Amino acid sequence: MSDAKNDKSTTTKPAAPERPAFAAPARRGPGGGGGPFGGMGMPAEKSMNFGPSARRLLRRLKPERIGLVFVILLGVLSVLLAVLGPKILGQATNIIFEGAISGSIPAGVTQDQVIAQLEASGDQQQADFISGLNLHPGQGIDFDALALVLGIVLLLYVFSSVFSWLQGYVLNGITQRTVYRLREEVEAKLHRLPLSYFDKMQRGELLSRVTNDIDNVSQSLQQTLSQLLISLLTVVGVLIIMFVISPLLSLVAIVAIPLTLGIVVLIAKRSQKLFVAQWTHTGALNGQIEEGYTGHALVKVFGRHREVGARFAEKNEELYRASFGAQFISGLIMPATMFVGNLVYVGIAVVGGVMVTSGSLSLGDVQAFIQNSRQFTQPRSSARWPTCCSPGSRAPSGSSSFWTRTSSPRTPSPHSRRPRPPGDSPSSMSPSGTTRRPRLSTTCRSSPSRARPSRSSARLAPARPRWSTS
Amino acid sequence: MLGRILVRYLQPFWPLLIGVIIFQAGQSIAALTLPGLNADIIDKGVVTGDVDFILMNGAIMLGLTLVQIACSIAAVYFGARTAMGLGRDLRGAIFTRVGEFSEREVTKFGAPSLITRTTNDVQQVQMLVLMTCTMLIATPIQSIGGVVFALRTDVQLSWILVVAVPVLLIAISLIIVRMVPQFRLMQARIDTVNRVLREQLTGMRVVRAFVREPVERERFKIANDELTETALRTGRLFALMFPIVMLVLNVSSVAVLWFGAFRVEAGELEIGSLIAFLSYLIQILMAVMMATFMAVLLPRAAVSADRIGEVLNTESSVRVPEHGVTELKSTGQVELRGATFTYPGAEQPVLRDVSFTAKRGQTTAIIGSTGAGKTTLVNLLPRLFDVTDGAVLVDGVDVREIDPDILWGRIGLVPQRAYLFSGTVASNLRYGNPDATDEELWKALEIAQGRDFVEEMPEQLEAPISQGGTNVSGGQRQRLAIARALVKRPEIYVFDDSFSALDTATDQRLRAALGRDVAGATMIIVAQRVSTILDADQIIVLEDGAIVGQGTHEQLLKSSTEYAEIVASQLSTEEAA
Repeated sequence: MSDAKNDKSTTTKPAAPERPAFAAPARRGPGGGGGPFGGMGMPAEKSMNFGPSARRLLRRLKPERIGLVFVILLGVLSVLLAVLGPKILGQATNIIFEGAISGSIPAGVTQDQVIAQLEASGDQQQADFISGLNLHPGQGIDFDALALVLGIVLLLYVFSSVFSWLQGYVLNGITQRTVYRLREEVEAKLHRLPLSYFDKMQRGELLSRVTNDIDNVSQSLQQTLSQLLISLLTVVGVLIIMFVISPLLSLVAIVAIPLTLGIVVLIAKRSQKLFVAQWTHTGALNGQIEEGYTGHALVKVFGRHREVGARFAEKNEELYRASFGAQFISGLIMPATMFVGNLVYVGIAVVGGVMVTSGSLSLGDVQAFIQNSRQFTQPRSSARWPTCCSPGSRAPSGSSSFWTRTSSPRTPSPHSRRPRPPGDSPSSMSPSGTTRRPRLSTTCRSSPSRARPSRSSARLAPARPRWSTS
Repeated sequence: MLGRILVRYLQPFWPLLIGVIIFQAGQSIAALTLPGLNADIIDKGVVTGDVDFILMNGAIMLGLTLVQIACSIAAVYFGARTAMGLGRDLRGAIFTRVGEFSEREVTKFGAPSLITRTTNDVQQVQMLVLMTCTMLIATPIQSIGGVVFALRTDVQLSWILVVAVPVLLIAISLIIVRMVPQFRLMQARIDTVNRVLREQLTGMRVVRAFVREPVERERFKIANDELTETALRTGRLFALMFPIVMLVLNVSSVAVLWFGAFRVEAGELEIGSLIAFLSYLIQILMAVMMATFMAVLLPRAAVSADRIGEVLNTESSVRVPEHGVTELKSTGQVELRGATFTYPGAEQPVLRDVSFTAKRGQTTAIIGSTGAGKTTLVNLLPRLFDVTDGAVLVDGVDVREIDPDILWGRIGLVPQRAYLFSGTVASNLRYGNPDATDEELWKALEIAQGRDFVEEMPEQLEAPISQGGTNVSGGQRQRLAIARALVKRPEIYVFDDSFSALDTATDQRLRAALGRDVAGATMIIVAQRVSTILDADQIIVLEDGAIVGQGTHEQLLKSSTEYAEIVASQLSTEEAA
């Protein structure tokens, strides 16, 4: 069996869900709040850390300036084309629609005649509707025009995808190079630190910072940069194109933004508490498991197996309740954003439909509108905002705990870290050292999206898969 | 294994699972009905200018949207219940199983591995179930429903589906198939970087002392280079994913409009239905994409399930007797009769034909080099292992026939590595005897030579102890572990090399105190230091699992060359004589 080795690595570097127990060293608590980023245990303090950490992160990216400009440029282009797509596709719909109506009118009759006829018969609404169209009675669908429009759309989409790929490609290089340098610097720093430093720091924690936290920085760099950028650009682009098409209909769609944000924030707030509870209970249970397994023989010979079993069952049940709450509430984010998306869809279908009948908007534009509105109610963009921007997000937190490391002076102040009593602590290989006093970690309190599907695969993928729904 | 575990442990949740399926189906169908209603708005409302119809259909759509969110919430609710419940049950099952394990199985897996299996691996399986319940289950419903709705809208156009779906599937699969080995490689390389760093951290003193920094830094650079290279490759593949999905989606939309236009021109399709068809297409492709992404979770969960299955399928080598002997004459006598122990698959036995008797009121010492089988020997008493041949008798009865609680109640064990549980000094001391008074605790501490340092702690008996006892020194931990066994007041004491962490003076005082206060008990002491066992009534010299000498110190000095060698290497001749 090869587990012995595997487990070593997994325990030191547990999968994301297990991570908090680890990333929450007891000594980083409020008691030991020395250094510029000490006392990260509290969410309030956390948010203050965001600014400087983000700035530091940006400074790290300085050597990649040119690449970054390129990324932004490609992002703008890709989004621009993606946002324009529906509008032009709408043109195609219009051609088909008008062609279909034209085909139903006998040749020789002009559009004006039809309108006049309708007005005479008192059907003002229908008359308005027809007047908003560009008809060629008797001709049917203009396939040449359609081919042209669809050809343009096709090109647009192809280029959008190519730009989007190029953007991802370049960004990937930037991220990996930055992280490479980061690792290199940390390793170099290790060799410059005074020996006394290694005595004071617990190995497990040091290691966790050097590895897990850099890992976090890497993942979030890629995600935050690309998603934040794309999301922002998409929202701006979609808003502009929407207002160009129809300011009135835009109002319907814009309602979705505060609504989505409101729902997400509401859920996030509730789930935050639940997640804290979940991690606390996870910590407590892990502690139980560890003690039970490490002290296996003692538990037996001292006749405590029943008590240990009962306490485990109790903690297990508590964890079940806590994690159920957390997963349930956070699992609502996706349906909720879909709900808002559907509301907007219905709103546009109705208001847009009425507008088309009155001739103030073309059918193709309504269709474009629906597609555009989907673009920003897609979880990919909207639900990610809070994740990316909230102070608890991974990149900054990972980085700030990490900066504590790289920016620590050669001789750390004696009171900045609560010295550990000597003793062979097992925590370098197990999360025990920290689970015993479960503490809110830098990673555990972040937004609810952590519990979302992407998260479990986050360690697998360099960036989270971007989910979208139609 | 994943399948078997899921079938078995999901059983209690079948009503919830049915709920998940029903609500996910309801949710998907509601979502699929929306485009059709929108088509009606266009075909019947917009074209005829029937605003009332538009409004009415809008109201129906609104209603459906509400139905959809309600179904979604219910599905997430049941899904979270099921997944978290499964996690709880799996953890419970593993913990119970490990509780039954003997030290043999625990050693086989290793405690850290067992911990990971109970926590991380269960988490993986749990996550898979959660994702399946909240998202994956919906995807086939959405795809099939989408196809049905699309076919109902227009059969002729559906050939686009026949092309687009496989193209998307193949495109994503090609990327994923390439990505999975890269992920694995990346994980391995992350581990390498971690290993190098860990080694540097642990060996920093050595690295500095021998000026190994350039070598170490080169080693790290290689690991870092390799990791970055794999990360780059994986990232590049990943960068392809989203653009390709979007491209397939958009090209199919264009195709629908182009070929749909001919159907409209022919009068066989209404324009609203064409737009609805477009929506179905997008919904189907999205579902397919989602399902493919989810497929990535599967191998990971499968590996975890295998690891969980290994634990659950391991039977303890120590069987609890069904009707164990509960009435024992309490003679405190321990007897080994030809005790032999072999690890499964091992060629050489760890213990060979070991026979001796330890009597009440006497001290039996076991000495021998590392790996001679001393710890295995004493672990046979409380059945942390069972002999593979021969027998171990306590109070004249084979330990395998004694009720475990009765057996454990008679034995006070002080293990080689003193382990304390998180809590306080008092809670640790009371571990084997919850009803002990404070006075008894102090008394035990006094015998164990631990009174002084506990008194110096500000909280005394209530002083906190961290998990494993890492917040007290090794010697203190050892003395607390001894006191813990004393508080239990057993008839048989087993000290497994428990005095080696103490200095010679403390060791001597402790043994003197033990001799005074627990004179009536049977003492079995495993020792490294000869000075610890000079006064033992009986000394067993163990080598390679067999007894090579037996008797008192004086007798052995004469009769056993092995013993004489050990003594010579440790004591000056003066002391020995």
